[in-house]
Amino acid sequence: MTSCEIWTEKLQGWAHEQWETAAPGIEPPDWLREHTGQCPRCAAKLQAVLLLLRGSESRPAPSPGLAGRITAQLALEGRPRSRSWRRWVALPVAAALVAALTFFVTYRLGDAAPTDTVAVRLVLEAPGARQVSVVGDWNGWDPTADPLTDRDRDGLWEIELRLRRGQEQQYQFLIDGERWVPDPDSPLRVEDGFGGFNSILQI
Amino acid sequence: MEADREPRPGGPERHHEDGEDLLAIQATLRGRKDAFSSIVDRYTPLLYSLAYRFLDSREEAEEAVQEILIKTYRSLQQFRLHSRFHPWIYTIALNHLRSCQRKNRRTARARIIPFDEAKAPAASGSSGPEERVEALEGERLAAAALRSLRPEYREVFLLRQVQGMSVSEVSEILDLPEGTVKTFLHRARRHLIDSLSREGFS
Repeated sequence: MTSCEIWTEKLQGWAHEQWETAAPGIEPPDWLREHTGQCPRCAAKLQAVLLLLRGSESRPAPSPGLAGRITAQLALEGRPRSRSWRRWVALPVAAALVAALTFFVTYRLGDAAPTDTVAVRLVLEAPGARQVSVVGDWNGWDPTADPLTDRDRDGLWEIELRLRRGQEQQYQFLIDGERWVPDPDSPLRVEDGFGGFNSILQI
Repeated sequence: MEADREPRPGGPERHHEDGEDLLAIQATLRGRKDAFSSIVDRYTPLLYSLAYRFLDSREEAEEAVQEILIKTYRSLQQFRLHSRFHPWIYTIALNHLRSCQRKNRRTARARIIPFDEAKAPAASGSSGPEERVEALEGERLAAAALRSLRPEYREVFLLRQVQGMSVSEVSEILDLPEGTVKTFLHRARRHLIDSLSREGFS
């Protein structure tokens, strides 16, 4: 066996042991380096092995402006449609919040209604608003699904919903497509993760 | 075979980053487009380092990163907010990179790319011309060894060893049992060292 072949066997043996302990900045022992000083071919192999062992340390980096360019490109995209949004609570509500329920909801147990749903009427005072919708768990947080109406133009917007019984629903009102407000008539609310609050309907 | 240990760089911070990712996504879905830029900033370098191993050039890798992030943005409404974003985006990335690779293979590119074209070769001691050639050659050998791996083994190696993910996360992204991940990783490591060592001998 040539000295290169012998050395290569030693390299193999050493390298296989390093995987378990390989930390960034791993350095080869002197006895491996002895041969590579005179043999550029084996020196290159050692380099290659070190690169692989070091793994995450040898990650190539993109050009500095790449992230900025991508963000600029994305600014041209339309907004991703939020079809199946699930509610996401930033902080859990303290048990105290689940105390008294005295919010302004009219229940009307329906005649022709299936027994597992309940009619719920929500009202919001928003004079000066051009459009109001209620956005919540039951409509997948689609801002267009449940618009409120203000027929007599007195600033009092309302909607009647049919919701499934037995499920807690979180919701907010959306005014003019940009202002989010929780239901002022509902004392049950939970942080929405944006510095605002979701109201809760318990049916 | 190695036991699964702590995830590599980015372990404990991962929880904090996960929370930030989810906040950014929810804000984006609510219509705040600038919120997505934090996702772009965080994931561009990570995705690039992965893309570079799959493709043939910096330009292609950068283009792939852009395409992956655009795909991710467009499919945001399919992401389930109760789960982690990190493995989800990597799944999108891998699917994209695999199809890029299939396209490349059809055009039969023979050129082997150095491990990192742009990186200045690390030199020990004086950076004379010999050392630089050595370092470049070392990068070339490492890249060639990686390419000689079976794709399944290579993906496991890249995610675990280079991207620094835990076995369980690799298992989730590649949709493989954890035992298989460990086996593939072990085989990848063996093959890399052995093929490197045999290089140049008959």
